[in-house]
Amino acid sequence: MSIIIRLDRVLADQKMPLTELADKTNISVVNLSKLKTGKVKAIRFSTLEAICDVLACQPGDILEYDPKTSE
Amino acid sequence: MEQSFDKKRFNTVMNITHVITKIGKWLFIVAFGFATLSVLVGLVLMIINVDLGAIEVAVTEASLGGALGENLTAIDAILLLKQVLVFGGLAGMVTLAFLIYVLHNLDLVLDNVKAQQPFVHNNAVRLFNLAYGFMIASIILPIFQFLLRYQIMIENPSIDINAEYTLYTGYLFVGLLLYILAHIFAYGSHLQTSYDETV
Repeated sequence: MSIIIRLDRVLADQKMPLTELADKTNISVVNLSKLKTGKVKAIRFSTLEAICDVLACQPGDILEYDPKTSE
Repeated sequence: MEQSFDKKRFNTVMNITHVITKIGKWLFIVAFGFATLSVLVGLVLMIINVDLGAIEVAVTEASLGGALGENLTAIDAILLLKQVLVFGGLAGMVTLAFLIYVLHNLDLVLDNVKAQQPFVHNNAVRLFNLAYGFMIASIILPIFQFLLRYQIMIENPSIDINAEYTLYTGYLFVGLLLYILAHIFAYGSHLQTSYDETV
């Protein structure tokens, strides 16, 4: 997929573990893990909003578009 | 306006259906055993040509001859009994095997529904199997009925019976309906997968 998830980079910058993000966003660790490893096909705006709210970042910090990357 | 879903009624219906399916499946399995036994007994009687004796002949005349309203001779009655045992048992076996197959697939579908996973790929596959099963049964099952009636007609000219092959159009219609439903479930499975892969 050409959309790359950079959640791990943002979490590392903020030194926040995935479990803490899960607690603060009310999203399960399983789903966040799938998101982090790029195993999801879509993300809801509500989920994106919750993550950006907790990490105080922009959606563009988490999502990156690379047309050269193929599925 | 959002429509409310009566989960309690749904659960009640599913539970009752599940219980009936399980009981029905086992009853049909037992009946299949009896049908198999009937075929085996009939084959044994045909092969070894057992003389059933005066008592059995009297019973056969009284039951089969009386039921068909014909004056069967003792030999006709015994021959008819053997044919009914073999060909009737065979028709019964095939019909019961099909019904067991239907209930078994339905049982598996209901297991997934109870596990709150109705729209999984396996359920769509099972519905396709049921659809094909009904369509094939609409052609195959009448053959065995025809064979039974034909055998009786040929071997017992004194019995007034017709032997015609008639397609089970009801089964064919159910098969077509299930085929359409299976496609809907397959689409539902696709939508469920998309939903599950959305965070």
